[in-house]
Amino acid sequence: MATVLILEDDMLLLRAIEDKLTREGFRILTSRTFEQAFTQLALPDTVVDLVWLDHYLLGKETGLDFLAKLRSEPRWHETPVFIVSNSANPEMVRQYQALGISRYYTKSDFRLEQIADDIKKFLHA
Amino acid sequence: MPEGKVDNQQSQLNAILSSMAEGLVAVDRDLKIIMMNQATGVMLRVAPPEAVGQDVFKIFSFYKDDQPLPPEAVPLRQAIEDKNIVTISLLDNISLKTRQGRMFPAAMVLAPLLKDGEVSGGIILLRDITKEKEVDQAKTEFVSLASHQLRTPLSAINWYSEMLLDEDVGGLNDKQKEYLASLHEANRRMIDLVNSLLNVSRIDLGTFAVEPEPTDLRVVAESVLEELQPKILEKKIRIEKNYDVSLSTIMADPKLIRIVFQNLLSNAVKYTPTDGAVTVSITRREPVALIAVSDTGYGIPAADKTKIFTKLFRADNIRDKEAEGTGLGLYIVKSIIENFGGRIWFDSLEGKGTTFSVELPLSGMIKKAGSKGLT
Repeated sequence: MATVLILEDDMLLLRAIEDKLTREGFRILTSRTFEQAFTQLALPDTVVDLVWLDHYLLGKETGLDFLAKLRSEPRWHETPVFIVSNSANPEMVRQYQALGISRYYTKSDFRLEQIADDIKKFLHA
Repeated sequence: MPEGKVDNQQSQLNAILSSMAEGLVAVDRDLKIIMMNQATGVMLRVAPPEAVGQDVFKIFSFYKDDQPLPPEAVPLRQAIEDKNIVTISLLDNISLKTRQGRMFPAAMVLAPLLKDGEVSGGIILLRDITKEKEVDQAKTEFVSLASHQLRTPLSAINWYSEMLLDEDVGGLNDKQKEYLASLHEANRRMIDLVNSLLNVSRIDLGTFAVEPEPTDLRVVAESVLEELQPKILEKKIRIEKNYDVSLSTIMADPKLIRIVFQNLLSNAVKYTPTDGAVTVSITRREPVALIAVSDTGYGIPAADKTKIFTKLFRADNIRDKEAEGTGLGLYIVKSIIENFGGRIWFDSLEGKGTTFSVELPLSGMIKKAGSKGLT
């Protein structure tokens, strides 16, 4: 069973994503802030197969800060990241791409099911 | 008239002209300045006596969208010759540059100067609209921010209604499904509206990015048609395609081209009654690619023809037929195409149909770094 770490600041959206991915058979870790996420990632037995990352998080750090730190850690250097954000602008997407992401979605334009399916396909490819 | 009285009238007129807050300039038929009031002098940083006798375009440097505007593109001569009054407003984005290099946005009225019914020159009435521009900018920024903030709750409605409709958390009866589908659909329309408002604010703020890459217009058209397939089938609309094989890719931003096709094709399908036809043709006409989208739809009433590309406008004849539509699509399309150096126009007969034509230069789009893409 693959594990997805979801970083999303909005409670309602976080619960929707968590419910959907759980139903689709994933194990879920959730986090609304940069610190919470790294507290979980620092635990020796944490396994994460893919990160679902929003741009805006609670607190001052954004998804970009999270990704930069994630990529600087050998343990998570290669972990695939899907950006799911409503703040799509080309400059920001470029910055994410430079740090290494697998997909970028505008939240309001995609079905949850579609993103969940893409995650499944991506992890099985 | 006694001489003293004439002098008196003259000095009163001078006092009025120099006390006006608006700039007022008169030119002769050769566009040489014959009079310039104080306010114009202050705005342009030129002493009025120094300006008199000079060509008006030596004193006035016109800019549009921050690019120098050649004298022949300023409709002053046209106003004089056609005895026409031309208004230049905030929306025209015209600025003037002072000799010291400072630019300021200006609103103007250009009018013929008539003497005994004969045209003897022209009048320019002008105003510095820096303040209005700031208010307009603040409005646009607010729309941008508000639209952006709206996306989060709209996403929540979208995803929860999707899960309910998919019966992720249990079965629904037919009526519940129907109601929920309506809710989901209405929310979808709200997301489209918010996306359009965001696009308009990016266009108006000049912050949208253009990222050209080799783009095949036919591929974009096909994918948009695919997306519209459910509606096309539902209304039994016949789609005819006429693609020029000699046209390969052009350098264009595929996202922007997609917005153009999405609007033109979805409008054609939306405003064509059941069993009608929509024709899309893409042809090479050196030095442009010509896109034409024709329908056998309701057509655009003659009275509405000049307003069709303006923001939030919807023609009278379709408002009671089609509830859906924001009045933003064609404004966005026109802005994209003009930014591309292209042209858009239409021919329409009410009750017969409409053809929208777009010319895109084969030389392609110019890259423009911007903070925001259009979505």
